[in-house]
Amino acid sequence: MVSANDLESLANQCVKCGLCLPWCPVYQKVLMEEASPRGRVQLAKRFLHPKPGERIQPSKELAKAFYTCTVCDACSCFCPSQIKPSAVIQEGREKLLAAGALPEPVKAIRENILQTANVYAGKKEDRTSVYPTQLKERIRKGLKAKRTDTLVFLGCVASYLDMKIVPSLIKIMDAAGMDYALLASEEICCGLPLYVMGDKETFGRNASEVMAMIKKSGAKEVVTPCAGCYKSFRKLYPEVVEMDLKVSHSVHLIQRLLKDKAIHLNGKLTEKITYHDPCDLGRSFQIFEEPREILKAVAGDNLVEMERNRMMARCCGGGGSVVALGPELAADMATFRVRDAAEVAAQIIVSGCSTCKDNLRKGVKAIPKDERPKMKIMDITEIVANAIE
Amino acid sequence: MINKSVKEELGKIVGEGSFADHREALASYSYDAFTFEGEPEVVLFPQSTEEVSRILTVASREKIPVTARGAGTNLTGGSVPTRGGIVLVFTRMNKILEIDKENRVAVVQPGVVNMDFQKTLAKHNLFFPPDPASMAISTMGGNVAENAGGPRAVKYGVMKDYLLGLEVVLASGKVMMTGSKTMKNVTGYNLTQLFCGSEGTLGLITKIIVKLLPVPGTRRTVQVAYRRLEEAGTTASRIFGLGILPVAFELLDNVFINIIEDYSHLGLPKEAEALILIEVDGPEAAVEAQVEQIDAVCKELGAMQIKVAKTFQENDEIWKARRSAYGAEAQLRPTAIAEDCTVPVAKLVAMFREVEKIAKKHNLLIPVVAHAGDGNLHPQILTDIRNKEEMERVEKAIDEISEKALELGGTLTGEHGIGIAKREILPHEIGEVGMEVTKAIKKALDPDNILNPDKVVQMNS
Repeated sequence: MVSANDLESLANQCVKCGLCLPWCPVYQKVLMEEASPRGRVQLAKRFLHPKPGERIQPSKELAKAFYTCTVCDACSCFCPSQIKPSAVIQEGREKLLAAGALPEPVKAIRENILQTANVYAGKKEDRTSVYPTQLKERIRKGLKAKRTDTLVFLGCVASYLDMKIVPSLIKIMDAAGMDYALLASEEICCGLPLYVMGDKETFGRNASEVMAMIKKSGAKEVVTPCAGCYKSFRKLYPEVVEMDLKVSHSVHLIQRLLKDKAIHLNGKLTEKITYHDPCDLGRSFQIFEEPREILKAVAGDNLVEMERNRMMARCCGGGGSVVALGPELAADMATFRVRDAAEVAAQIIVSGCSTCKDNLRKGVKAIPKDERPKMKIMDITEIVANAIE
Repeated sequence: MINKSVKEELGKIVGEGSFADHREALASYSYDAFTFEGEPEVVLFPQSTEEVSRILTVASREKIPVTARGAGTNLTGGSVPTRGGIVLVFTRMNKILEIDKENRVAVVQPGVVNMDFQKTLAKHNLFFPPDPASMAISTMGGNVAENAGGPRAVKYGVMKDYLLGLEVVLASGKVMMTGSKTMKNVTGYNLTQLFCGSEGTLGLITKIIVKLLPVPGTRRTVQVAYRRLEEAGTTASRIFGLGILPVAFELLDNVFINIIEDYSHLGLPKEAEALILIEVDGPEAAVEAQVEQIDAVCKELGAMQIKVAKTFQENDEIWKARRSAYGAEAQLRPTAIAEDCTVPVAKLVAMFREVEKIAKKHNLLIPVVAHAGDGNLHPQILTDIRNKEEMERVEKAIDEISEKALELGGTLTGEHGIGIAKREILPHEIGEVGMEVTKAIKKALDPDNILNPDKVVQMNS
């Protein structure tokens, strides 16, 4: 945690060299300072710790500057002064929220989470629509209440938006003969969007609720295919609740199952694939090699690297509140990443994040037809499920 | 003050989304990488020469100051407005208009990012050498306006050496073409070079013609540590004496070696007075032979440590020390003022010694990194801009560094420009007659002093 004093001194340490600009996916798209780490730090400084006559009041434009940050954190990784623009901007969002200046679309997400326990305002019972029929049947018979060591936390995006991640993960676990429990329709949002929008208080309450459910299940490990949920559990929950659980992402689980020879992959994929590092797994936790090892088992030498990979990976644009605030902007950012993949002749982009998958798919469509590469977007669970022998 | 109807007129020229006058936009165009801040009244993002021309027609009619800006990475305040007015941001004029492989030239818009240009050229096996430290984001227009260079200047020179022609919008709004796509051109005055390094004070660049080189074969880096600075100086002259022209010859002093080692733990000898990085390029066999010769010279001069890269990856490993310099210094003090004095190559070590004395005299921490191969030093004055007393000492140190550079037959700035930072001491170098000519040129091209006023030369003082 960075204290308020530290944040002020961090903001002052920004020498405005501009070396964050090439790494900011938003700046790269809009080419305006207000939408750059350096610009946002300047605005945060004048909003939070102004010199006389420089104060900037909460406004629509200020909110736009702070809420169009994708929280990819690339700026912080490549800042020569090692100031943390993302932490400074996060403080800006917290103060904006406290001042009641939350942009309407972000406010709507907050309301959705508070009222329906998911970002999409989906119905509680619809959370399991995406489950395979057999699983639904097993749940009806009481599997979810079963006490096992592993609880699978699927996340809102994979449950409400994506038709493939959940069945794929289930297929993998069933193929391995694993024992697992699910919260099914009782699952609620991990709360990451609340944290990112600056509402730490509600995030804390939500985290306690999630943890109570998980604890009640008796699980010792939580597995999630969602990079956002993973970041919540690993990095943000410890700030607000007691965390004595092992947290794994689906890539960890798959890696373990491969190591234990619980699943076998055929390695016969002939299309060229590339791995897109989700910010919440890559830059946040340096989970770089695990997914690549898995993909090598699927595609062998057909796994190619984009020029910007690992720490330098370009954010797909789907992070933070950008999708809510400017869906077109988010999709436009994704076009850059799709082009990165096309540049190395990849035909499939694989990611380990349901939000990346969703946004990259929109990115493909946002490229004008005559330039659009033939590009498939898959989650790592899908490509593994397809390759199980 | 720009009145409402003029703002509307300007807004109509660039269209919605390319005009901003809200508080947040003005605040975020109030800085560059220098310490000075100043807000504009309007920010415009033109997308064509025609728009720039129409904006300047209005600006000259209304006598509105216009500050051109690329990525805003310059280190002397060149892209910060001093009198409000318009900040004209060129980032959206970012098309590579032509890569003419046969004639080895390219035509670009000013907002093209240097690195993007380099990457595109590499696909055609072509090479554009100027490599300022900001190249990952700085724009070609800004690079021309500041006559930017970087480590590769030793062998390949700087922006001016690649510039063949320009399209410039004059203060009046008139559009002028200078130069041509030819390698040679002595038709009339060299108007192209007049605008190179003019820092946006004479005209606004809207199109750039540059010449290109073929990609050099391979490149190799050698890192050498010496107990004494003098040995580093001798190395340079001995290597040149052997007929080797390195791509880059960088030198870090003892203060920097210690700062970097404490920060990055690269295994640099902390008692060394000089760490040099020498890069050579060319055909594989020639490079191999040159590296051997360099290695022999350094051994003979009693180097403490020699590292020779064998692969591109090892080249990068070696450059890590140089690259982490600015990050490392930023950990020590909140403000770093990058000085840029340049001396004749043979006076390099003498200048290092002078900076050392000045740092001691004013009790300041001044690590020095130098593009030693071309005599360009960057003493980094580490301070805290909020500390008034210390800033007074910093000012004195900067003045003394400049004076010493001039005494040694050098210049105030090798690649950062004059901007706001050095305009007061400009007369010390170019003299009274030089100032008269400079002012006459400025007056002829910008009679109303609307183009980046207060930069380089102050007209009404």
